[in-house]
Amino acid sequence: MDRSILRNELTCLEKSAYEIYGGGCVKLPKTLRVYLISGKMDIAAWMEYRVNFLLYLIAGAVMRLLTPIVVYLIYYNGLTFPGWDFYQVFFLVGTFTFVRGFSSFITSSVAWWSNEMIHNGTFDKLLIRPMSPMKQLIIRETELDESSGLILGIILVIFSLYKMDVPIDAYNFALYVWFMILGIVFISSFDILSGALNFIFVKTDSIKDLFWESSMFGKYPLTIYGVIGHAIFTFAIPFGLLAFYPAEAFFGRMESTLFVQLNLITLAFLSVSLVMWKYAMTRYTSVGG
Amino acid sequence: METAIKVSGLAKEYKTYSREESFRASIRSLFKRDFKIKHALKGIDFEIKTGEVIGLIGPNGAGKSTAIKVLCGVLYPTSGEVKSLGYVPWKQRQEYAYNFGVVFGQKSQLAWDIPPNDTYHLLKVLYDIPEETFKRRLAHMVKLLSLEDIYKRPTRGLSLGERMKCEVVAALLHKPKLVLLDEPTIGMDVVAKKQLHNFIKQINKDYNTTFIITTHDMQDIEKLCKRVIIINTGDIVYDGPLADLCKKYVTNKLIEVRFEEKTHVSLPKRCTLIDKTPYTIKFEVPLKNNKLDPFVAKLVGEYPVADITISDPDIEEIIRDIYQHGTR
Repeated sequence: MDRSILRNELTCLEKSAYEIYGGGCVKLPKTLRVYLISGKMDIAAWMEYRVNFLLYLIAGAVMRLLTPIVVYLIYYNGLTFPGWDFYQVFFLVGTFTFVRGFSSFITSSVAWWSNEMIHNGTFDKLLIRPMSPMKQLIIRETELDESSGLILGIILVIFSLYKMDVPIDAYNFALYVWFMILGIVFISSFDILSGALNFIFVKTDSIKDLFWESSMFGKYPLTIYGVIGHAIFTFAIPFGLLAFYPAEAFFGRMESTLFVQLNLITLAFLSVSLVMWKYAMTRYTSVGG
Repeated sequence: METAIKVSGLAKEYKTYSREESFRASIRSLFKRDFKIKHALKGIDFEIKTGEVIGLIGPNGAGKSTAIKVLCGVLYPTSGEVKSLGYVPWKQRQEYAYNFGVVFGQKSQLAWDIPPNDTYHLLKVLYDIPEETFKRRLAHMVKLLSLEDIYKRPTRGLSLGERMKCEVVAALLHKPKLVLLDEPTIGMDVVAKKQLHNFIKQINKDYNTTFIITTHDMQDIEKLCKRVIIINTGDIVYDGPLADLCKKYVTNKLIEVRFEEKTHVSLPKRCTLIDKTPYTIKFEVPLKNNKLDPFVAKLVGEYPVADITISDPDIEEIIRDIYQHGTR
């Protein structure tokens, strides 16, 4: 890629930060400006290796397309989830894909990059800059492959809504959005917790893997896991927030008592992860040299 | 002069473990590990004035890099106090970051796949540097370090020396009051080293910037630092002017003699022969009460001496002696 073009783009990008609000009266927040420039740099770095970049985008899209295909095959073969029709499950899967994709945009790099950077000592450079290390980890890359998850999630949700042809209740829709936010916060809390453990045990990528794979439990209606499974994925490890509870809220089937409980559980996860992160940073040892 | 850094009783301990090299030992280490406490810094004290250029030197594993990392807030100390530019580095990290710059010789600040110039633009936003100031400063530093054809090429294609110069620019873009350079001349050729030395001198002179330099290259120290702090096994073994270090620790004089004709000289046992030809001799004589050995006077009086040079050993040798035998 022509370097001068990239430089011009960077400059233009910064200019646009002023121009968005009408020609330089208001400046975008610094974090957003850093994110935009980091994002550009990340994409530019990816594009240096064109074949890999292309394969990366295609692989991300193909992997995510597998989920709706599996759901289709399940129903095509006459298997069903009790209480959920075909398009409701599509709605569920779409919500799950969107929530996981969105949370990956935000905090997955906290878990992955802290693992890498603490292991090789390059976390030092985040500590010498005038911005919190967590913020820098969050904005350090664009998570391009997750964009396919986001787009697919939105398409699945809109498609299933269109096919179900149900009226959208504003209150239920607001609850749906709120529970999706709780789901994103829950995954982000785990990313932060996983990142914090890296400071103590240096390499903990298997914990993140375990959580990420286990979160698949949240892709299907919790009712299929029996009473104990349902309780575990609601109160202990609330994977139900990734799709089941937002969908239940959307369809107006949510028990009101759960609203407060799920909010409190998510808040507890977030608080514990932030406290752990703050403590764990004091244990950072860097590497020699 | 105002105090830039005050360090008192600074200690840092690490928990490390070791094991034998066998596969069996690897399996055993899964269940049981032999932990050891490594005292990287053992309660050191020092003070640095604004505008000083300090050489922080010591052998590998002495604690230099640990000291630098504590000073820039990367590591929390086990005990002790540090006040740098009025900040406690590990507690007020973000506010403090606007005021110092650091180059870690082994760890790059620059994005690997794209040119340093792109990283500079990111740093501009991170450090809130106004556009015009940024352009002016960057152009100035690029000129001083002859980076015109370098800083627009992807970092991965630069030589180590070129990358180090680009790292220095990245560390100084926000015009810090304090600069910590950890092995800044690593991989540089003599020309690049000279450029960097001149650059540091210039910045120090123009902005009264305080520099702390850790290096294994004694040329860096001789060219840049009036004061050195020698650290060994976590303790400060010398803190003072470089000139005093030479005076205090020079125990020998180096004598080089050229004769008018072929001459044979028998050296007394106390002298150490370094080199000898029919017309020249090079040897070391010990100093006694800081006085030159009488043998040198005898040599000049009794032999056909055409030329004689009396000099101190290299600073490198003095430092090596301190590393190996400690201070006296």
